[in-house]
Amino acid sequence: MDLPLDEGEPGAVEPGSDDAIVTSTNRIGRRVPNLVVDGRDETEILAYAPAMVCDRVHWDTVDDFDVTRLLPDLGMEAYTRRWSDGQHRVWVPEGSGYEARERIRAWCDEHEVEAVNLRVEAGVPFRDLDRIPGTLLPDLLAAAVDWLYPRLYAIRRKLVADLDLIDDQDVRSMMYLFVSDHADRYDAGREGRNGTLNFLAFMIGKLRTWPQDAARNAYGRGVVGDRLALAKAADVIAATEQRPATEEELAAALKTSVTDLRRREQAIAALSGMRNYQSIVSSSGDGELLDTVEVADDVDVEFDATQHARNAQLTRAIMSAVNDPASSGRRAQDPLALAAVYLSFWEDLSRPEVARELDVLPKTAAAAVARVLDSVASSGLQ
Amino acid sequence: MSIERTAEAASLHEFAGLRRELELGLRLAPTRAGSAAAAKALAAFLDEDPQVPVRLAGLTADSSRVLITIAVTLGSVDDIKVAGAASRAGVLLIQRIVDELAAYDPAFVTLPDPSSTEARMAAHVMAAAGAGRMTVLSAVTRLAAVG
Repeated sequence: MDLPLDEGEPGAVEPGSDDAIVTSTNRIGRRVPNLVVDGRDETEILAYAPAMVCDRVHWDTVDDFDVTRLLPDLGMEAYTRRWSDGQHRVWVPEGSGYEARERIRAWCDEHEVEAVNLRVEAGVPFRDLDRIPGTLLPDLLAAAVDWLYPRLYAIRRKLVADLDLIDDQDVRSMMYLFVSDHADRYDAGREGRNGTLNFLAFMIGKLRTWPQDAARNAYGRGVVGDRLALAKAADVIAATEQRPATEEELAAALKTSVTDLRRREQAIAALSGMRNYQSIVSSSGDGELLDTVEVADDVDVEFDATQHARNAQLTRAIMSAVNDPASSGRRAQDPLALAAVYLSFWEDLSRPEVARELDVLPKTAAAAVARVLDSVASSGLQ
Repeated sequence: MSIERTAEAASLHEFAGLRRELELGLRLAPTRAGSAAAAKALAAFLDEDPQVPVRLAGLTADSSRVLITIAVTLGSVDDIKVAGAASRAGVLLIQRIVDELAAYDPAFVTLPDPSSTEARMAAHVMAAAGAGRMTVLSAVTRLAAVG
């Protein structure tokens, strides 16, 4: 597996050398080494906890709860391991997940433990890491973090940029917890074209989606999904139209109204505070980021956002009524009708006033306005 | 830039005496991010068509857009009545603005009151442009940045 950003490995990898591999994107990459702890290779350490395929029962409880109390009463082989999210997980032999869930539910009812959202995930890889003796497991995890941390700069930056309240100094301990949580899922049996997947390569694969997963956990799937969808729609329109996307286009891309689009924009801005967030008001011409949108409660945001487009549509319809390129000479343009309509509807003048202003008879002014209104009405404008 | 050039023409119209002329307000509403491009496009566009007097009549911003209002002279009342060459040129210029700057939602508007903030802002920009202290483009860019 290739490394996304490699701070610690100087020099290019020569194709054909022992370290060289062909990556999934057909580039030459560097082979990730096996970890060695206390002189023992990772394969030897992890052999204490061989990979299995299990069903996992996963739930939360309202009050604190020690899962180990439950295991002896479950009536089947079962393992548990605490992850950093504090939720409860029990692994049982493959095919027993649903039965285990019902037994857990019954046990919780019987012991007045309020279980929330009991669910089963079938056929997941699992290692019972408790079988690894002494300090080999924590040492292995620490060695993995020592190796990964300096080499995953881009992922660390994204995590800090995307999540409020996380600073650079938090990331190393967070990475340790992430590696610890995922260690029991390490499936060493998989063979690829570059040989067997080792522990570090497995973790790099998991860490690649870490910032997105963390953002989803922090802010909810909807908000993060909206953010990604908005960015994608803005990119598509910028690439195809060579200009920033309008609110209406973004709303259409998300299959929603402009009002809802703005509400989602506000939700993204308010909830995430994502520091690199690109809003509707994205940047000035010189690239400076501007403030995001804030809308007072009494503002009709949909009207505010669409009035320009509606007025432009009306203007186009009026211009098509007073300018007919198919005709020639004086008949092609009708400036009198344009002037009469403008004075009637934008200057709020009555018909006699319009006639006086244009120095024509009132019926001439009325006929000029009527010509335009008929044409606008036939254009189907609401 | 035509907007600056036509300010001079507009000031002449004030002394046109009995030869009454009609101005129509047309507003471009680019997003803040697109406002500099809109100002450039408008200026370049008007440079191509110097026959019709145009002036910058208003400059302001709402929650998401910069609002650039121009006053296009449609011609004298006598010319408008008979669809003379000057007023037909005015119609054609407005048609071209509507067609070619469609990305910025050009639309008819009432011309702002000269004592309004947006009219005074436009007048200030034109005066500063005349003195070489500011351009319409820099004013629009600054307006887009501060709102």
